Amino acid sequence: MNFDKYNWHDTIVRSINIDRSTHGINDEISFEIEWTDGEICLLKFKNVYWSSMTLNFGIIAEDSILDAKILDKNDADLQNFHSKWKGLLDDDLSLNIFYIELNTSGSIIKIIAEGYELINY
Amino acid sequence: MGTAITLGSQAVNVDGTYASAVDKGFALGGALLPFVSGSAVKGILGKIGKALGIIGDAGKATKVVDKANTLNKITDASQEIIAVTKDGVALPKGYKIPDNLVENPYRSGSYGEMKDGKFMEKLRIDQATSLGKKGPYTSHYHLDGKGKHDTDPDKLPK
Repeated sequence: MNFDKYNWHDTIVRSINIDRSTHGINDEISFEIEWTDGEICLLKFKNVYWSSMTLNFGIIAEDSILDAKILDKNDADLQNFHSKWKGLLDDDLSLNIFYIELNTSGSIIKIIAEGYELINY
Repeated sequence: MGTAITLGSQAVNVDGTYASAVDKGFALGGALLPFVSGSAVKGILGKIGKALGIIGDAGKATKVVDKANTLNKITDASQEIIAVTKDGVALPKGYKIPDNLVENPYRSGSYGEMKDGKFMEKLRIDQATSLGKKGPYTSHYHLDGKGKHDTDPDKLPK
């Protein structure tokens, strides 16, 4: 299913985990999320190449998703990423830039990764 | 910071500045959202139209808050005012954010109390999800940092 088609609105982010146990081979960033119906699952970004997280704390409220989507190929961070690698990446490596904005904390997360997976507990 | 419009030509923002045409446009859009009842919207739109110059003779329909510098100073005319959040959500007629709540430093439309150095959310007003995205297509609010959607104006913090 297309990432943008999920009903991300008000899905609670319970935790964020960065897994570098296979350093560089398959760096992953996982979000434990709780859908609005109470179901909990893991949103895992696979083969991560870059991320930016502006996380705000000190806010007492369930921190949920305001918006989550894949940004277009003209995104400045994605363009800058490709310019850093100067064409060294394999042509068949398809990377997307994912965007997650949280509600009450106003936190903004951007991830450049090959893909994502939703894993039910 | 939200926007409040008077029912005349002197619309004001909640920070006390006079509203620009953009602010008024936001307010007009916000008035279409479900926090305001249908009949109220009908009357309100007419008055907003006059305020914007879309409908003539604004003076007769106005009860203008003269030289109001802050929303807190608007008292007598409070029942004639619709507050509109920065995101364009119109609040129920006459409702204003309680004075004891402060705005979230990171999120517009979110208000709460400071407690032990933390911001404790009491009210968050969300706009409708944009078309093409899954989510609620009506504006709503959340109380006490919880995920439950509410639209009942009587439950808003006083």
